[in-house]
Amino acid sequence: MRISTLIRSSTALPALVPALGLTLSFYVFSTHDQVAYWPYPYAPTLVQRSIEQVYALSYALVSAAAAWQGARFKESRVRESAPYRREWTVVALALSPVVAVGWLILLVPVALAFSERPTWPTPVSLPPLLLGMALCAAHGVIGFVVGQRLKPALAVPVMACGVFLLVSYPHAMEPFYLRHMSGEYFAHLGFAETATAASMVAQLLPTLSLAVAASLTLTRGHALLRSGLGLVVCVGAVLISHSIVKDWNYNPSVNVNAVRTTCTGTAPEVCLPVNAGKDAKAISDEVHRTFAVLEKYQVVDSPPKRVEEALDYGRFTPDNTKDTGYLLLSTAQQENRVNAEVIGTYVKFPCEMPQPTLRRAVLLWLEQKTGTMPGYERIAAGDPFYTPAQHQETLKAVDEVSAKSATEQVSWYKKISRSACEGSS
Amino acid sequence: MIWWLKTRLVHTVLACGVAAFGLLTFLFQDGTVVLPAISVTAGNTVLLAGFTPLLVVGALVQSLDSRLTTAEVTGTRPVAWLDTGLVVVTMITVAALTAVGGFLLDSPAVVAAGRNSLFLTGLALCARGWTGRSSIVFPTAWIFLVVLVGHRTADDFFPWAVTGLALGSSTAAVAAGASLLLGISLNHHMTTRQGSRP
Repeated sequence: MRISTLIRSSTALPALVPALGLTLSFYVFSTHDQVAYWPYPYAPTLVQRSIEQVYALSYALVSAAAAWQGARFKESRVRESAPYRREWTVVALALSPVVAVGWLILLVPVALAFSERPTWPTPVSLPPLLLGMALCAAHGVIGFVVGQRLKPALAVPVMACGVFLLVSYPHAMEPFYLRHMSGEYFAHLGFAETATAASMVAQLLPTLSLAVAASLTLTRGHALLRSGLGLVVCVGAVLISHSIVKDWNYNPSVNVNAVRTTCTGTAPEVCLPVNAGKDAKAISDEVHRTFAVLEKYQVVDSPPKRVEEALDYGRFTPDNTKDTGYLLLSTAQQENRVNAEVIGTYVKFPCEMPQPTLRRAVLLWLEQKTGTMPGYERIAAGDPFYTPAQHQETLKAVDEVSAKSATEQVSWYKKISRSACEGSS
Repeated sequence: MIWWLKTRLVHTVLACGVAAFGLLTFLFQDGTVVLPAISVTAGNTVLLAGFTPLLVVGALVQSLDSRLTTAEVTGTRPVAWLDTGLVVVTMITVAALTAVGGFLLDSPAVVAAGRNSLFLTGLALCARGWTGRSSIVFPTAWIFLVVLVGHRTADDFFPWAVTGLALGSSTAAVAAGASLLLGISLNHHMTTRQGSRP
């Protein structure tokens, strides 16, 4: 069949309109922010974040359109005509435009993400996309088989809503293993994270086995044998998949530390991902400058041996130790507040909950010496009770202190950190 | 009459569709699911019973679509009136079923599912004269539209998203009635004018 005829005669053509509309809307209103958030373009994040919201929609649309194709296939009585081509090639040809529409739903946001954050896809970034594409095909087969039994008037709403609900609801419900098996890889991959092979297999197997079982109904042969085989495949696949994911919490297993880092300087040694490029020197200089000030005013006794970019550890950031600090340096650099990130982490008060106004005075006092100070809006964004008058008062106090000698400032700092903790444990 | 009932699959498809609708709606009651959405970022809570009316609409569309073309164009039977009667009877059945069920189960969502069935059936019937069985696409698309962009906040719908509105909403009730009336009239008109559709 000519390609133009194949497309024109397929259910895929009308399905293209909602497909593109939905995937573009999700990109513009939701994914775009996720893609813009990360300090560096990182291929696995760009791929996975772009498609995690549209997995379920692509499956639902493919399933419904394939059911329609299946019904038309049956009504056209292709199977009753004399064999000219192999039957599976006829079915595959009828399904290909429909599955292609599903692939388009997944590929369009990925392409947009990569054009917005220029970088190239890497092999480790592709498994979540390939998972979606494979499961589009699987849902196509399942829908096609349903279409053999059910007329489109019922098959379209049942498959569209059924698949959408079954795939997208598990990620908001317990038990957790359901979300790792539904085919929707909603992992929120961040910087330095990649999908594990185990998590991909667990997502793939249940739906794929259902597609295999469904396609067995299209074959000829002993009915009992076929249904038995289908059942065995399904149960086996679900058991394997469940055995992989049964101990996971809401996080699937992810590989972390998937980026190369370089370390520069001493006391502290600053380790940043190579993606930082020319920013690395600016970040490292600001870290050193800040620690010098912290040491001078006796806020810290000695700087840690090493400061690492916390993003390198993905979602599982280790706790700071005496020797090593894990800071969000790259994100801070984007907002020009590396000094604030260091100060906020290393200024310690003798209590858990110091009095916020006094704590803020100390932070501003140090930030003024090391670089940029946050404006009122930025502080107020994190504290709704903070008024402009309070801000002016704090700034005035900070200016007064900064005019004094270094020893006086140190004793001011000691006094303030004690009084910030009065009345609290 | 029996000939016509059999052709329209009333005893099989339509009866099963309405029964499945009733069963699932009574099962779900006020149960909700959290789904992805475009108009709100989190907590897009949707009633499960919001999806079940499509079973009634689908069954009805298939039923009206099942015809004996040559026998029906002879005009010895008032096919258009019979079809309109079928729609009306189905809608009364669904409304009564959900009203009684909702009262017994004390679940407003069940009654709302009946109201939504009227609205969505009207939507499908409006298009049926031109698009035939493809008209099921419109109520299905409507359901997805309401799920994805119908929420103004996590627990409030835009006024246009009438199938999401609570049972007490007069907008939704008026929309359901108007949609059904318009749908039945248009469908009746197109059936008389065109005879049966291919």
